[in-house]
Amino acid sequence: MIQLIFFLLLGALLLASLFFLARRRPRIEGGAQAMVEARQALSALQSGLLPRELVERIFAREDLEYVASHAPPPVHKLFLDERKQVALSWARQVRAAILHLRRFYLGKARLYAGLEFRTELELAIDFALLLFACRVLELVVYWRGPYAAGRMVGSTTLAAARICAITEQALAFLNPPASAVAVHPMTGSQEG
Amino acid sequence: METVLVCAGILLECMILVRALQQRLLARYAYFYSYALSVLLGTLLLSAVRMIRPSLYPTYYWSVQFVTLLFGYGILLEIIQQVLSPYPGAERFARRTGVGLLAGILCFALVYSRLAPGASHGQFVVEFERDLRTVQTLLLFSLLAVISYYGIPVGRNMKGMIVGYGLYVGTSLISLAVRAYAGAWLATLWVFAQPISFTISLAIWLVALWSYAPNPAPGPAADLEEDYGTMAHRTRAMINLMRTHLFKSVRS
Repeated sequence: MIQLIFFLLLGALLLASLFFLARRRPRIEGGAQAMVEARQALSALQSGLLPRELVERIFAREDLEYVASHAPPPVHKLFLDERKQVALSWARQVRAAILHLRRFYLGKARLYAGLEFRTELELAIDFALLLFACRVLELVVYWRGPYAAGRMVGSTTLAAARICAITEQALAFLNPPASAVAVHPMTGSQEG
Repeated sequence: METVLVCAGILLECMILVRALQQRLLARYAYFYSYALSVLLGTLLLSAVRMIRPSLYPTYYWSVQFVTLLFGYGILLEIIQQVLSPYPGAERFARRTGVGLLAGILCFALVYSRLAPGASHGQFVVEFERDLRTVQTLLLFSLLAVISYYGIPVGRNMKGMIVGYGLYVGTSLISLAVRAYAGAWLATLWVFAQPISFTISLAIWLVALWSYAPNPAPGPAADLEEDYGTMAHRTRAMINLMRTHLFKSVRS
C-alpha cells in the first residue's frame, strides 16, 4: 500500500508541475532589465525598507502608549489594526525584495559553466531558510501583533541596521562598472 | 472505443510527422521525431498483428511498449539539448541531479530485486514498466525543477513537448501502479487510461509543433566583474547574515 501511495504521489506531483509549467508566463529576459530589477530591490531594502528610523517608527511603542493614554478604546483598536497591517506589509516587502535578489542571482548563475553543484545546493537551502524566516516573522506579527514581544522590536531594529551595512558590502557585485550604466527601460533615466 | 482511439492516434501521429516535414522540424527536434516515428510504426505493427494473429498481440504489445519507452528517453535528451544547453550552469546542475537520481534508483533496484518476493511473468512485466516510468518521471521532474528554479524560459514547441510527454508518463505511472497493486482485474483501466492520455498528448504535440517556435535565447549577460565563485560566496554571506538576524528577531 505504501508503495502504491508513493507511485501515486509521484505521478500526481509530475502532473501538478506540468500544470504550473503550462500556466507559466514568459518573463522578460535581458541583462539590463535584470540588473535594474536587482538594483531596485537592493535599493528598496537599503533605503526604503531596512533603515533603522523606518523600522523603529513601525514598531514604536511610544506611539502605542500615546494612543492608549489619549484616545478612546475604539481608536486604540483601530491603531493596533492599522499598525499590524503596516508591519505585515513591511515584512512582505522585505521578502519580495529578497526574492528579486534571488532571481537576479539565479539569472546570472545559470550562465556560468563553472557552476558548482554543492554551492548551488547550499545557496538554494540558504535562500529557502531566509525566505522561511521572513514568513515566520510575518506569522508572528499576524498572530501576536507588532507589539506582542517587546524585545522583538529592538532586535528587529538592530538587525535591520546591521543588514543594511552588510548588504551594501555583500552585494557589491550589483554595482556595475563605471563604463556600464544601466538605463531604466520605462523612463530612460540612468540607473547606474 | 478502443478502435476509435487507435485510429485517432494514427491520424494524429501522421499529422504530426507531415507537419514536421512541411515545417522542416525533423532535423531541429531529431530525438522527438524519432520517438514519434517509433510510436507510429509500433501502432501500425500492433494493429496488423491484432488483425492477422490476435493471440500474439500481448507479446508484441509489451515489446513495442518497451521499444517506444526507450525512445521516450530521447525526449528528455531533447529537453536538455534545446532548453538547458544555452544555460551551462543550469545544464550542469540538471546533469548532476540526473546522474545522482539514476545512481540512487540503480542502488534501490539492486537492493529491491534481492529482497522482493518472486512475481509471475505478467506481474513482472507490469512492475518493470512501472519502474521504468518511475525513472522517467523522476528525471522529467528534476528537469522541470531546474527549469523552474533557474527561471529558464521555455518556448511553445518545447513547452508542448514537455507537457504532452509528461502527461502521458504521469498517467501511465499512475495506472501501472494501480494495476500492479490491484492485479489483472483492473486491466480495463489500463486499456483506456493509457490510450486516452496518449491521444491527448498527441493533440498537444500537434498544436504545439504546428510551426517552428524557437526557444527564447538567454538575454545578454550584464557586465559582471566577478566570477561565479565570488558571486556565490558573497551572496551566501549576505543571506546567512540576514537569516541569522531575522531568526534572532523572531526568537526574541
